Amino acid sequence: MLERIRNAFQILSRDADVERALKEVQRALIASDVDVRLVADLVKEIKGAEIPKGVPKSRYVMKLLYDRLVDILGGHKRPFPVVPQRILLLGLYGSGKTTTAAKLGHWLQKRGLDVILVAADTHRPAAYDQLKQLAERANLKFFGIPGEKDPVRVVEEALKQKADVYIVDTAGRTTLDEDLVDEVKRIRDVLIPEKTLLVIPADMGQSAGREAERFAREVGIDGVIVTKMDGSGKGGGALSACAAAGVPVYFIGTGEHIKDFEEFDAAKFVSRLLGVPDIEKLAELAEETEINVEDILEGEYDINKFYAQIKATREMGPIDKVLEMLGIRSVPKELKKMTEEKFKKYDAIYKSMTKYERAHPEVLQDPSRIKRIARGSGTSEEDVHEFLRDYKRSEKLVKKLRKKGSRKQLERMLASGRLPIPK
Amino acid sequence: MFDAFRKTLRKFSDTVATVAGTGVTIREEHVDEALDELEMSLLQADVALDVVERLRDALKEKLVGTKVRNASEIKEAIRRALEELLDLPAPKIVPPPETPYIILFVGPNGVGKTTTIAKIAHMLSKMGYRSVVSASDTFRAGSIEQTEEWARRVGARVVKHDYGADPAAVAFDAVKSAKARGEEYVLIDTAGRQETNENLMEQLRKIKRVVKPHITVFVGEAITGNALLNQIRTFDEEVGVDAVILTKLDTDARGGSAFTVTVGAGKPILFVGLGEDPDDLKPFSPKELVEMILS
Repeated sequence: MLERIRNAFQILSRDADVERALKEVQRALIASDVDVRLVADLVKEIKGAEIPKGVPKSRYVMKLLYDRLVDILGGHKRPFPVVPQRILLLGLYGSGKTTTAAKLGHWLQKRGLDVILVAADTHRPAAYDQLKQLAERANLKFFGIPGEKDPVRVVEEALKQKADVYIVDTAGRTTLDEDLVDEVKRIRDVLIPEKTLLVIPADMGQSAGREAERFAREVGIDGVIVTKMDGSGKGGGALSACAAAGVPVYFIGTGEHIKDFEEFDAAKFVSRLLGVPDIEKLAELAEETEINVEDILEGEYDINKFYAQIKATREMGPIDKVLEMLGIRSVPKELKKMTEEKFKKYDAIYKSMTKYERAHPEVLQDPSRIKRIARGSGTSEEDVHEFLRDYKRSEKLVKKLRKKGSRKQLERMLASGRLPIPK
Repeated sequence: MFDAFRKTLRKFSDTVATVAGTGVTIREEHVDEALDELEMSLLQADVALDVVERLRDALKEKLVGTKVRNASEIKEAIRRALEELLDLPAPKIVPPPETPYIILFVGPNGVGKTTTIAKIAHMLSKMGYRSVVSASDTFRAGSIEQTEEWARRVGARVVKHDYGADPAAVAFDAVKSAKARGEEYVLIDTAGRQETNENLMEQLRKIKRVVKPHITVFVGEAITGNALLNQIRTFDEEVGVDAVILTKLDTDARGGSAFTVTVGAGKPILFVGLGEDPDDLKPFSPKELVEMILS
C-alpha cells in the first residue's frame, strides 16, 4: 500500500496525470483494507473538488488527499491519559489482548504509575499463565485466581489489591455473541472502568468495521488499540473503521516485544506512509534504549558507535525500522539480518577490543591485533574480519546520511508542522 | 451476504432469459457486465484486490462459450465455475502415508494454530490414530500450558521443553519419541510470527531442516483482509507451504478469503475451522463454501 500511495504522490508531484494517480490511491487503499465504500466516496469527492484559481491541480489534489487521508484514519492524536484508572480490554480471539495488556501496562508504568494486570480470561486454556508470565517479564504486578471460572470474582478480588492502574484482560470469542456481551457487562458492573478499549489486529479485513461498530453498540467502547502493525496488514480496515465509528485509536502494536507499542497519530502515520520521516518517534525510541541517535549521526563515527547501533537494533527492533523513520530505505542487509548467534559473536569481539582500537579502527589492519581479538573473543579471525566489513558498510551509510544533511532539513520540515507541499 | 452479487446474477439471467428460448451461448459482453458489479461485492467479502482481477479472468474463461438454456442453468454454470476455482488437489493425511507422519504448522500470531492442532489431534484420535504434539512455540507466554491443556482434553501426548528453548530441538524430540512408540502423527506447533520477521522465518527453516516434515500447513484466518495473500506467499517463499487451513469461518467472515488462498496463492485448503469446540473442524468443501457465498 505504502509503495502505491507514494507512487501516486510522485505522479502528482511531477504534475502528471491526476486521474491515474487517483486510481493508484484507490487501489492502494482497497489493498490495505480500507472500507470499499469509503474509498469510493473519497475518490468521488476529490474528483469533484473545485480547484482554486492559480493553484496547480496536482498540488491541490495532493494536499486534499493528505488531509482526507488523515481524516479517514482518525485525525490528530488523542493522548491517552496517564492517570490512575481502571482499564477493561476487549477483543476477539487472537487479536492480541493479553500481549497488549502487558504492553499498555509497561507504557503506563514507565510514566510513573503502579500497574496491576488482572487475568479475567477464564475461558482460554493457559490465559492465566500467559498473562502471569508476561507480567513477570515486564516486572508488573499481577492478579489472577488459577482455576476460577467466574471472571467477576477475579475482578472483585483484584480490586482489593493496591495499584494505580488496573488492566483487566478478558476472554475473547470468535465473534461478539450474546454470551460475551453478557460477560463483559457483568465484569463492567463490578469494575466500573474509566476506559474500555477494543483490541483489533491490523490484518483484519472488511469485517473490522462491522466488529468495531458492534462492540461500540453492544457494550460501548472508549477507544481502540490496533495490533500487528508490523505484518503485511496495514491497518487500513481497523483504522478507517474506528474513525468512521468516531472511536479514537490510542495505540498501535508494532512487534513482538513489550516496547513495540506506540501512541497513534493519524497525521504522523500518513506522513510516514508518504515517506516523511518521524523524528519525534525516533527520539522517543532513542531515549528508551539509552542510545543517542544524534550521536550516531553526528561527530566522529567509530566502532563504539557501530556497537551502539547493533545494540540498538536488538533493543528497539530492526535498525531498518529506525532508519526508515529517518527516510532512509537502503539498509545493509547484514544489519537487518543480525541473528542471535551473530550478535553474541559481535558482542564478544567488541569486548575483546581495546579502548584505543574501538576509537581508532584503522589500527585494526594489523594481523596480530586481529589474531588477538579472535582468540580473546573465542571467535575466528574470519569473524573479526566480518565484523570489520560490517562496520565499514555502516560507516559508509552514516556518512551518506550526513552528507544529505537530512536530519536538520527534516527537523525543519516537521517543525513547520506540515507536509512539504508548496501552496 | 452477497446481495449485490445476487442481484447481478438475477439481472444477468433475466437478460439471457429474454433472448433465450432455444438456448444461448454466453458471450464475453454478458460476463463483463455482470463482473463489473460483482467486483465490489467480492472486495467487500475480503477477496484480495489482486485476486479479484484474476478471479474475473478465470470466471470469464470458464463461462464464455458455455451453452445455457435458462436462468437456473446460468446460475449453475457460475456455481460450477466458482467451485472449480476453489477445488485444488489437497494432500491426503489420513490414513498416515508414513508412520510417523509429520505435519508442521506455521502462521501469523493469534490465528488459532494451537486450537487447530488440538482439533486435528481430536479428529485423528476419533479415527483411532495416536498423535504427539510438539510444543515448539517456546516464545509466547503461556503457550506451553495452553498446548498441554488442549492435549489433555483431546487425549494427545505433548513433548515440551522450557520457554526460550530451541523449537527445532523440541520437534526433534517429538519425532524421535513418536518413532519409538509407534505413534502415527507428529503435529508441530510453532510460535505465531509476522511474515515480515526474517529471523523468525529462519527459525522455521531450521525446524524443517531438522525434522523434515512431510507437509507444512499454513494456518490463517478467514477474517484477514488483503494481507492474507502476502502472508501465504511470504511463508511459502521463506519456508514452503503445502496446504492451508482457514480458521474462524464461523465468524463475521464472508468466505472470500478462500479465493485468496486458492486463486491468489494457488494453495489447496485442507480444513476450515468453524468454532471453539474440538469437533469444529471440517474438511474443506468448495461446494459448501460457494453455497455459503451465494445463498
